[in-house]
Amino acid sequence: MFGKHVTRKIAALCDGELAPERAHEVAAHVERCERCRKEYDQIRFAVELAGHISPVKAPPSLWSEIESRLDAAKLPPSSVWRRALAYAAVLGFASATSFGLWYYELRERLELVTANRAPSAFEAAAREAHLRRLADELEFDFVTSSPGTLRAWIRENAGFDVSVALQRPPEDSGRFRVLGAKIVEAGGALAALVGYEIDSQPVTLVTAPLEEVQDAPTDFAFKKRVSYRLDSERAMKLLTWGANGQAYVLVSDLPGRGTEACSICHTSSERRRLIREAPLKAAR
Amino acid sequence: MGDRAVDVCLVEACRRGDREALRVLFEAYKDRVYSLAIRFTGDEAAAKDITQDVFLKLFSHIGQFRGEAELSTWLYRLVSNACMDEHRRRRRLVPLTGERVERHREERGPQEIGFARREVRGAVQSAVSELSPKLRLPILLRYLEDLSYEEIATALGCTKGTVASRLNRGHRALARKLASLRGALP
Repeated sequence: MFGKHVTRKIAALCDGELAPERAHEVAAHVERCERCRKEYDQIRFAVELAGHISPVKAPPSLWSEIESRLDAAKLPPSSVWRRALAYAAVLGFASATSFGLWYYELRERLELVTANRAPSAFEAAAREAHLRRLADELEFDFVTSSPGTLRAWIRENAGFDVSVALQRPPEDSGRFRVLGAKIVEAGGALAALVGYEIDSQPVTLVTAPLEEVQDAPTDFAFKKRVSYRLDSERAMKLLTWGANGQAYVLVSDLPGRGTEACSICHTSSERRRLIREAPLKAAR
Repeated sequence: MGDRAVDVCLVEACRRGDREALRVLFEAYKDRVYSLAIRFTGDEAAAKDITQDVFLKLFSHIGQFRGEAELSTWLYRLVSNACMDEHRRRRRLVPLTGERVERHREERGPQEIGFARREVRGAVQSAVSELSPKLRLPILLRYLEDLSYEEIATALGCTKGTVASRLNRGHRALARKLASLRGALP
């Protein structure tokens, strides 16, 4: 691993959280690598700033308010009631889970809408990264063909999960190939880039927490709206959406609208059919 | 944070419903809980609510504390969860006018704290409050509460690697927001 940049270890270095040997290695790298030294200066500066966060004394009235609420609280439920509540909770949870699975797989409304405005910075960064991949200029930070290892690496290095399917259905056999991941900056956020291939065609997925992305796509509560953009100059398709707190962009030159790229996460045939058959609407 | 043996006795007393024990715990931990809450929300009323909720939850859910970890670790977990709940609640209640919730007024420091230092402190606190909650919490737990990455991971229910990654991102964002303070730190 060493010889690679150590930017993700710098906060731990500044905070004295690395084992002595590792700290020595990271510090030595920082010493001789301009990019990591720049990053070190930035993080060192931020650590110094964070030292200015000061504690605040709790107001004196708090305890009396807690006491009032304790007085107002009801007695704990009897064991019979407690058991009944527990059964109801289990039943409720099971029903909600079944409904959620059914809804997610079959009923969630899926809208494919033609993009009608200029690409956001997030989309532009994904497009740029994909072009660099096509030109063989993009080096993954982590190379693996295992979806499980890839997800663990992203969780560790980006702090969020990417739901790349761990197992593929038989019809995918030999068609899908995960290649690697990279941490990139996209739309002002630190994002995870996943590189993979479908039928030897490169696909690039870029994802970051929605709240950190400038000009982020909307995460609708009861539907998934995917923006479709055709970059005719390069014959590339961009699919952009927000879901479960994450912003996503998929870039590929797969046939049709490129929605086959979604199959990296969606493996049920029913869900794939919904995606394949989603009508393309004009943006309002 | 506190003496472990004393905490164990107080936890036992709380399990028996002893309010006086809760009060002792409250006195020991109130400033830390309140500091975290106010630095997270930037709002006095919300911070008071979070602090009350945390101690009431501590009292009513004390049976869930198995004593394998320090009480403080469990308490930090309660505060972190309460802060995230508050954030979710606020997100749903964003005023249509787009006005921000009233910010906590910065306390006046003692006279000897220079103007420049107060300026920097205000700017840092404002920048921290603009970070996304997932980046803000680890920063506060680390630099306000002085927790190790391991302790932060336990409080947030994630891995040490995730903590390191969020702190890295948080630092970058802070440095970017406060680039104008370079060279101005007192």
